[in-house]
Amino acid sequence: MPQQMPSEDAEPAVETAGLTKRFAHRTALDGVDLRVPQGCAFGFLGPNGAGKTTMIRTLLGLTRATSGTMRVLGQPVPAQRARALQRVGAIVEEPRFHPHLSGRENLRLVSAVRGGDTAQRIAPALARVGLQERADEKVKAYSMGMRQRLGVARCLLADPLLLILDEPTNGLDPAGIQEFRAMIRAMVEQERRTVFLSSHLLDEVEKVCDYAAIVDRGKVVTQGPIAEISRGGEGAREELIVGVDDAELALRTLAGSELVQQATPADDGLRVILSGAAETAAQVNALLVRAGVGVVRLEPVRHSLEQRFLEITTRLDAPREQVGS
Amino acid sequence: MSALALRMSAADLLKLRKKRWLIWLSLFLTAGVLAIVYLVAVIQHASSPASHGPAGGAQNFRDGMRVLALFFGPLVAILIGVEAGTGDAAAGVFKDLVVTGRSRLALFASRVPAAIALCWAIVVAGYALLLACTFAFASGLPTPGASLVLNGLGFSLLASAVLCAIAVAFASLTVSRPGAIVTLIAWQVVASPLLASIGSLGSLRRALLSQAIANFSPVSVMGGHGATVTMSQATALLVLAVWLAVFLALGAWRTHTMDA
Repeated sequence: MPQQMPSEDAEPAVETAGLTKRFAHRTALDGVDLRVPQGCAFGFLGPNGAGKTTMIRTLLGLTRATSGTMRVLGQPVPAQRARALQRVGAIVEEPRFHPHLSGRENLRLVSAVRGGDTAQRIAPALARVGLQERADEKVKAYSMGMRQRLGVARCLLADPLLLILDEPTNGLDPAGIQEFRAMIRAMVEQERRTVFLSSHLLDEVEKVCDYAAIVDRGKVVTQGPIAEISRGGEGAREELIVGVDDAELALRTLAGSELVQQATPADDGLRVILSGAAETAAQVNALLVRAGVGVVRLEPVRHSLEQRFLEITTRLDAPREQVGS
Repeated sequence: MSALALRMSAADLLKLRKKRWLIWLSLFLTAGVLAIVYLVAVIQHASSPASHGPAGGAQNFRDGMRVLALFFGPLVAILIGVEAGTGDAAAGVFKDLVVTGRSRLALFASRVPAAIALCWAIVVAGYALLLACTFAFASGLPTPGASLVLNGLGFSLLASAVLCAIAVAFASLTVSRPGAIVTLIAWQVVASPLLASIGSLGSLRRALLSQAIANFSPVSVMGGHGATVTMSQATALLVLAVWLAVFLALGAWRTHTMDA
């Protein structure tokens, strides 16, 4: 998992409060409170139809929010939308271009609309995504992977502080996915940009992102550092697998200790849930050794984001038809 | 016009002029059709001079003007205007322009001069061919004076610009290329002449766009035989202004409010 933990005290790249979007009788976003820290890769994770694309479209002013407030790069949106989006690059759904124009010409169009010195960024942006050799070919001849890269180049014209990418690896082959992930990490780690990445692919978010929010049926169910979400949220108790030479004695010893909330036998040893975030594996080890139990294995249980995601997104039992993206 | 607005219009013009089918079709409908008309006239005159006069000269210039400025020119203006109005949405890039933060009204406004610029280039090419044929094949017939030539050019540019701007706005309003083309052509070519010929509508016919435009024509509409509604130039200008204002406002409103 990536290691990029920016200060949470800094002004967030994106902040929403009570953001709601309704389409006739359907609620796509239901009072979303979201905080995306600056300088990280943030995964916006949810099943298909959870409201991910609606969230992005609302943030970017492509559709109006029904209620709630939003701030992008510190600017209130939609009141200061133009200023907020000056340093934002976005790919919403699949990247689309004028197919009869070349890649370079398509960037010229966006550069003309953005104004400023963006025209000077066209060549570096094409080089950054490895398209300089084919920049003068018509886009209709481009593969999906090339279009994705051209989409990123279009984002880079803004020299973005925030990149918003909606399901960016859809349609890419495995090599293209690897390349894309590496590019996103480089943008975060080397160029200090914030990347907001929506995806329904757990693996992708886990490999690329530092922070995540899990959205389901228009609600953000949990958000924070990925390790914390996987563990079950802030203050969640650590779980250990303990291999011992005398399981009965170990269970009796642990049952009488305040360090342990629960200890149960399992195929691979004892499953021990510590009673608080402050308790450590070392304390459990010392306790068992003092009681004369030989400890042959002591391993924290690695919680997967997938496990947590499935727990969260299947526990809500409201009818699915009410919500969608 | 600010430098940014100029750059945006130049970008819109780039989108249009790189559409080869649009350029070739527009050239065919203006210069191509005129070339065919003159070719037929030249062949007829060469094969039977007694029954067919020379292809050039002032009278044939007037006929050519009607073809160019009142029929095929408007068709070209509609095609180009609709393409300008729907191009971004059809390609799916309108949202990518909106997320730049640029105002949607600016995005809409930049389409209009770009479409008119291309339309004028096509119409001028057609008009140049018309003039060349008028003088080259005159064979002693009187040729049009400078005043008629300049008025004809001005009228062709005015008619195409007004229709092109309305086409951009209407297409931006409907966001449907086929729907906008069919509706505008049906209105301009079928419905408007039909309504203009209904005498019982009286002065209401002055509100017709085609009638207001025709009022500025230096040559008589329908070869001098058709029923055109007479009105003062001020009234005609007012009618044009109202049509433009209403459609441009509707197009801008739709571009501003629609989900991208």
